[in-house]
This record gives sequence, C-alpha cells and structure tokens, in this order.
Amino acid sequence: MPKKMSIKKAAGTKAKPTQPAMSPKEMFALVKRDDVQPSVGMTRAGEIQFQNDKAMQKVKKSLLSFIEMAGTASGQSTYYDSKAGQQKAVIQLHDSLLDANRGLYAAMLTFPGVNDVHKQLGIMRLVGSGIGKGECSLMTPEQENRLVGFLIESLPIHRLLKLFGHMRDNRVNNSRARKIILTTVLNGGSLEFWSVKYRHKMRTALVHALGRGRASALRAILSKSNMDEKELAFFDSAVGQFVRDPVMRKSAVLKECVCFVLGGASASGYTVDLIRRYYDARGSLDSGQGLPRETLEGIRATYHKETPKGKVLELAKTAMSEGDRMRVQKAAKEAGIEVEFDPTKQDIVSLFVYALEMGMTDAIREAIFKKAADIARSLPMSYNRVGIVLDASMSMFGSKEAKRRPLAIALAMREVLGRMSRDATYEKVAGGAEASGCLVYPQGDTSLAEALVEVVEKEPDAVFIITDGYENAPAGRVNEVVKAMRGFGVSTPMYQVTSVIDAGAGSVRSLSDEMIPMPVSRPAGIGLAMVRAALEADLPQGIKALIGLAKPVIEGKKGGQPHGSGDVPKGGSK
Amino acid sequence: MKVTENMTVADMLRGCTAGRVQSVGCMQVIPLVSDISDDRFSAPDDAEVSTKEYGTLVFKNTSDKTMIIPPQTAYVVSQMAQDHALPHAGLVKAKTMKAYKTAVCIQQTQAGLISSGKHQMVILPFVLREHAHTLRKEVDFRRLWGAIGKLNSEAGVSEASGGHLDAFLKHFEKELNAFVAEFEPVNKQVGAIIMINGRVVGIERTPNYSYWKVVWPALIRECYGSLAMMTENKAGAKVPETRVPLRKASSVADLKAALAEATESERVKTAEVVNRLLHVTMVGESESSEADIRVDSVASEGFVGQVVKDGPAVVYGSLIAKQEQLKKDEWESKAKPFAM
Repeated sequence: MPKKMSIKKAAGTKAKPTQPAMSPKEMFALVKRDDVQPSVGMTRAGEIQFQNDKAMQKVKKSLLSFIEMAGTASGQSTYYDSKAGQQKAVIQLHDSLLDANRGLYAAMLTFPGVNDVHKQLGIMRLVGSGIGKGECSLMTPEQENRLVGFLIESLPIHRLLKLFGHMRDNRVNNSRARKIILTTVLNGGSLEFWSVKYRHKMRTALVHALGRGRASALRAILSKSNMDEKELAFFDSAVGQFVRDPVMRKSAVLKECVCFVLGGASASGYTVDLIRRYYDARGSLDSGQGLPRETLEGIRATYHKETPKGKVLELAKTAMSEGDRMRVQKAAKEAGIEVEFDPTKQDIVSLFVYALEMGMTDAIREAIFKKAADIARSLPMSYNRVGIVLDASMSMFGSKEAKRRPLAIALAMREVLGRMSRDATYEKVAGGAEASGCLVYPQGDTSLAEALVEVVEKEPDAVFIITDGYENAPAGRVNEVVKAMRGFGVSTPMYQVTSVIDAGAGSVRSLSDEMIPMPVSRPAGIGLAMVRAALEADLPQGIKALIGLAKPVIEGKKGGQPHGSGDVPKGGSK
Repeated sequence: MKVTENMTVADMLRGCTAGRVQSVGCMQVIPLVSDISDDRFSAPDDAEVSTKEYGTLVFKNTSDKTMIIPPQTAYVVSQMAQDHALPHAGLVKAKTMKAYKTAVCIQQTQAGLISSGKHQMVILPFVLREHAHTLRKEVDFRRLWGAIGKLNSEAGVSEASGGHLDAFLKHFEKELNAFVAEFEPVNKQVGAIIMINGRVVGIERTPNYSYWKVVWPALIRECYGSLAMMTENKAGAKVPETRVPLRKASSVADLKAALAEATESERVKTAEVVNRLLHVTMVGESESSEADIRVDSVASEGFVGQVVKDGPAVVYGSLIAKQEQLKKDEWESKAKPFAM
C-alpha cells in the first residue's frame, strides 16, 4: 500500500532555530513613561531616600547589574549568549534604572569604562523622553543638559550619526534633539571630510533636524549660484546659527557641504576640494586621491568595476584615519600595498586584537607597554605585589561577531594589572599557548584552580583572575579552592575580572561568591568596580558618591574627548 | 546482513590517549588526544547540502578528500524548507555528489526543499539517535516524527510541536549553547568519551584534529548537551560520583597536594568506568563502502553505533549507549544487589 504523504504546506514563515536579534529600531525604541514613580530621591537636607525597602533592594540590584553590563555587554552575541538575549537584558536594565531615578541614571553613564552602546542608549532615553509627571531627578535640567553634552562629545562621529538615525526612526525630534543634531554635525571641525565620508547618514540627520520642508528649501537655495538677503537669512536661521565659529558660519565651505549633503547640485560648481574630487573620481579614479577609503571604494564599485580594490587602498591611504590604517592591514598585505599605521594612536585592546590576528611587532609591543603603564597610573589603586591568573582556554576566543576580543581585553588587563604592582607580579596562564611577546593564543580546557593556588603561594597583596567565568576542570573547583584558603586563613583579596557577560542572569558569571567581580570591556573600566564596591557596602552613601563623581561633568568642569578624533585623516582635517 | 569481524571499544580507540577530564554538572567529557591526525578525510563543513525530495539528502563534496558524514547528522535550516537528517554514516568521495534516499524529515509540517549550500550541521539529540540508527535502512521520510514528538512532549516543549526538532532546539537554545563554552576542545584532540552521572553515554572518534573541531559543537550542544539538560531537569543537578570533592586542607602547600589528589582520584574513578567497557565485544555488520573505506554498524549489549574503517584502522567511530542500558544502569545504581 503506498504511503500517504502528510507534509502540509505551512502557513506563515518558518520558525528558525534561533531567537532573532532585534533591529536597531527596536533596540533604540523608547517605552512610554507617563506615570513614573522614582524609587529613589534626595531630601532637602541632601540625604538619599528610598520609597520603601523593596524599592531600595530593586535600585541596588539595578545599579549593580548596570555597572556589570555597562563595562561589558554591547548587545553583541558572545560565545554563549545570543544577540537577542544580550539586547533584551541591556534594554531592561536601562529602563529600570531610568525609572528608578533619571539623574542617577544619567550620572551612571558618565563613568570611565561605560561603553559606547550604553552611552547611545542613554542619550536616546534622556533626550527622547522628557521628565514624566510626578518624576523627580537627582539632577536639574541644566545639569542634565551639560551631562548629555559631555556624552555627545565622548562618542565618535559614526556612532553619533547612527544614534541620530535611530532618533529619526523613533521620531525623537523635540527642540533639544534638533539642536544636538545640528550643533554636532556642523561643529565637528571635519565637516568637509565627514560630508564625503558619511553623506547619507549626515543627510538623514540634517533632514530629521531641519524637517523635510526646510531641508528641501535649503537644498534649492544652496543649489543657486547666488543667494539674496532673504535666502541668506533663512540659511542663517536654519543652519548658520548652530555653527560656533563665526568665520565658518559665513564660509562657502559650510554652504557647499550642506548643499552636497542634502543632495543639491551647486550651480556654480563645487570649490571645496574633497567634494570636487568626489565628482572627478567618477571619471578618473586617480582624481579621488585623498577621499575616504569607503567613499572611494563606493565610486570604484560603481564607475570603475574593472579597477582592482587594491588601487583604492593606494589612493586613500593618505586620507585614512589611524584606526582605518590598522583595520586595512590585512587587505593591504593581500594587495601588496604598504599602509603604515601608528600603534601609539590605537587603544590597547585594538592593538591586541590586531596582534592576535596579524602578529606582534616591536612597535606594537612598545605601544602596548606604554599604554598599559599610562592606564595603570590613572587607576586609584596600586599594590606592592600583584598576582594574576589568566584564563586562556578556548572559550576566550570570542564569538563570530567579536572574534578575539574577549582574549584581547584579557591580555590588555594582564598588562595593566601587572603594572599596578610596585615590587613584583606573579602570573600564571591557565590553558592557552604562550606566544612570543605578550601574546597568548586560546587553547584547551579551563583549569584555573591550580594556577590560582600557585599564584597565592607567592603571597601577593591581591589576586586578579582574568576569565570568562566558565571552568570545567572541574566546574566549581575554584570555589572549593578559595573557600579552603579562606578556611586556613588566607585573606588576600581576590578579584574576578571578566569581559564577557551572561545576559540571562544580568550579571557576570561568577566563579566563587568569595571573589569580587570586576566586569570590564576595556582596562580603564576597572574603576567602575570600585564604584560597585561602594554601592555594595552602603547604598545611600554609594549613590551620593556616584553623584559626586559626576559633579565635574554636570557642573561643566570636565569635557569629553572630542568626537571624531579617530575619524579624521592623518595630520588632521583639511 | 553481512557480518564482518567483531571489534571492541579498545580497537576503536587505538592510537588515542585520554586527556584531562572536563566536568560540569552531571556531565563529564574525557578528551581523546592522538599524535595521529589522518588528514585524508574531510568533515561535512566542506559539503554543499540540499534535499532533492522529501527523504533524500544530497551532499556535494567540494573538498579533494573523502568526506565522512557522521551518523545522525541533521540540517536545521532557516530557509522555508523541511529540515532533514541522515540516520546513518555516509561516505562521499572527493569532488563528487551523493544522494541518500534513506534520509528523514525532522520538521513534520514544513513544506519545501533545502536549496544547495553550506548549512550548519547538528547531530540529532541523544534520545533520537538510537531510534534513528535502528530505522537507518528504511526508506520513509516520516519515520522519526513520532520519536521527535515524544521528545518534545517529554521535554515540556509545546504539545503542538509534534515532529518538529526545530521547536525543541529553539526552546532550549540558550541552555544548549552553554555546553559549547563549558566543554572546550584541547590540543591534538580527535575524540571524546562522554559521561553523564558517572556512566558512559557516548564515545566519539574522528580522523583528524580539524574534523573534531567541526563536529564537536554539534555533538556537545544538540546531542549530548540535550541529554545532560534533560537529565538535570528530571532529577536535579547532581554531581556524579566520578567527580571528587577536595579534601580539607591546612595550608597552601597542603591544598596543592589536595588538588593533585582530587584530580588523580577523578582520573582513576573515570578510568575504572571506561576500562570496564574497553574489552566488551561488539558485533560488526558491513553497511557500505567507497573504495577501501568501509562503514560498519556495531552493537554490543549496551552500545550501538557505526565505525568507518580503512582496513584494520578505525578512522571514525560513534557509539551511543542504548536506552535500555541506561535504564538498567540507573536501576542498578539505585537498587543495590541483595545480600544476606
């Protein structure tokens, strides 16, 4: 008897085996906050007050989790967690802390070690949602404004432009948002370069800030060869008033760049060098020398398909930012082109990521050592003798999205922590294969316990275990060892430095409750761990200390790193 | 049935030595390391996989080596297509294409065929593997649906999931992913002995180092990870008897000694369990061949699986504990022998 086929045509889309990651729009979407009851506030006498005990516990949990996440999770997948899981956990924490107290939330975003994704999410929330009905904040609106300005300045331009895109997607276009967008885009000091490099993202930002009608009118008048007085006044009120430099405000560069970004065609032809090259390169790729690499590659792929990609590297190498120069090393090597980069201009983690892939050089090693020493000097703690255990097992390799990054952070931490000792550093690598210089390649199982005991035997003042929190030789052995040591009187402080987060638990995966967790995504972020300790010891005092730490920012005494510093051609903007 | 020469687990693992035991929760993994890495064979990541019709899996070997497809290899794809599995091992010669009509559908109500491409492989969950092995020679694409439905129902995945393996994998995605990080490949690894609650549930051996790295995530996540997860969900997370706790120590030096003792004691305990299996005779049955390379099925009272042999050399082997044996072990561990 023939068998009957029973496969039915499925309705709708097929369920995939993995949870889909959120779109950027979803990730940056704002929750309606009409009736917020902050769980923490400040009395007139300046004392921290909680709604009730339950609220206090909730705030404490949120703050501690936020500190752990702010230094590590970036919404990317890890070796163990899906992207969707990470994203959900990140968003929940931001919303819960914002609801607890807006000012406290804002203050948390200013600490060194908070990564860019969290700053973007924070700016989105602070700018996109006004103070709710009945909501109080530990900061005045003026202080919050200064703080937002600080955050904006600390972000690189490509992240800011992405953030402005998210603002457009989520319809955040209040006057504060519009002002932030226009002052940021028009005052970066590299307007010409940004205009050709980020033309579409800049257009999105400008059109969102100006409104479609104004942007369209502006494009029309800027495309004319001459503007009359009325049109000049319109230009000044729409754009000029947001430009701080009075010379730039009246310049042709500003007008041409805005016209170019908005998609206008200058009737008298462009005089700005990079924009001219942009158009000339369509005819001859060689004319585009000095244009950003991505722009030139776009022109090559459209107008000069037969030209090899390596030609773009050759033409663009003088215009590359230092970060770009390092990123293209592999492609340049394959194309047989020499692109020099200055390791001293890179951050220590990027140098390790690069060296793990491309190999270590004397110049990179020297730069790493200097940067590690600088970071160690900036930290508010030092020891006579430091013990370090480095987990170099296979899982430290990282995910497809963040290949080699957990290990690179771990190696950077090792260099920094090693320089926090005045006398000696005792170090043990668990798993992995030690390579020449300061590199270790991940390999093998995670046998941390033996390494820990060997380091403690040298009697250091503090021990740092740099690990992802997973052990298998066997699991739980580190906890047994630490408890045994405490049992016979070893009181050495032990810290677990972790660069990977378990999104499900909202916290770092802990090897032992006897160890102090220190989640980090970059070495400078270790300072956050100190804040965590203060909050754990005394929550109200810890919160006051937090606000105190943010004081230089909210009082306008501390500025961020100028954005885009890593995204201008070598030798500065033209 | 063509009976070939019998063999033992020791024969299958010749050339390997045991690495350090990795232990998390109820699961333990003994890495099998070897100086022999037979690079004449490629892993399924070099295959372009498709389905020609329901129940027919096609492998296009793009490498210049003979490809060994592990038994119970499955493809759970994101295309609008019926996911498929191969219930037995496969051999595909270099630069050739081979279609297996003995494949099974593992996504009951999904229509559509898998278009050719490189798809990520999984290995069927442990509890499905014996069933798939038993039915490996039949030609009926529906034959695993009942077992998948039972798995879903026992694991607490929605009743409506039926014969949808994707529903199981989606439901436990996070739990299963964790196993990949918890059990890490070591240097020169070609295989592993997998234990749950102190009992051997699987023995895997592959031809070379890179082959192992390709199949290990699928073995540890979907196959053995799912068994460990279901065992812990059923009986709670218990540490097996083969995992030895540290004794009390009085100083750092004493602690070092205690650590060494615990590690050695664990090694001895797990070795005792493994050694009991090494010389049990397994009956062989010849299944298929490509030139001199042969696929045999093997079975003993407690284990069943397939090996790929090149003359006397076992280049690939995958053995799993029979469900009956696991039940028997469980009963015997609970109920001690009667004595007066």
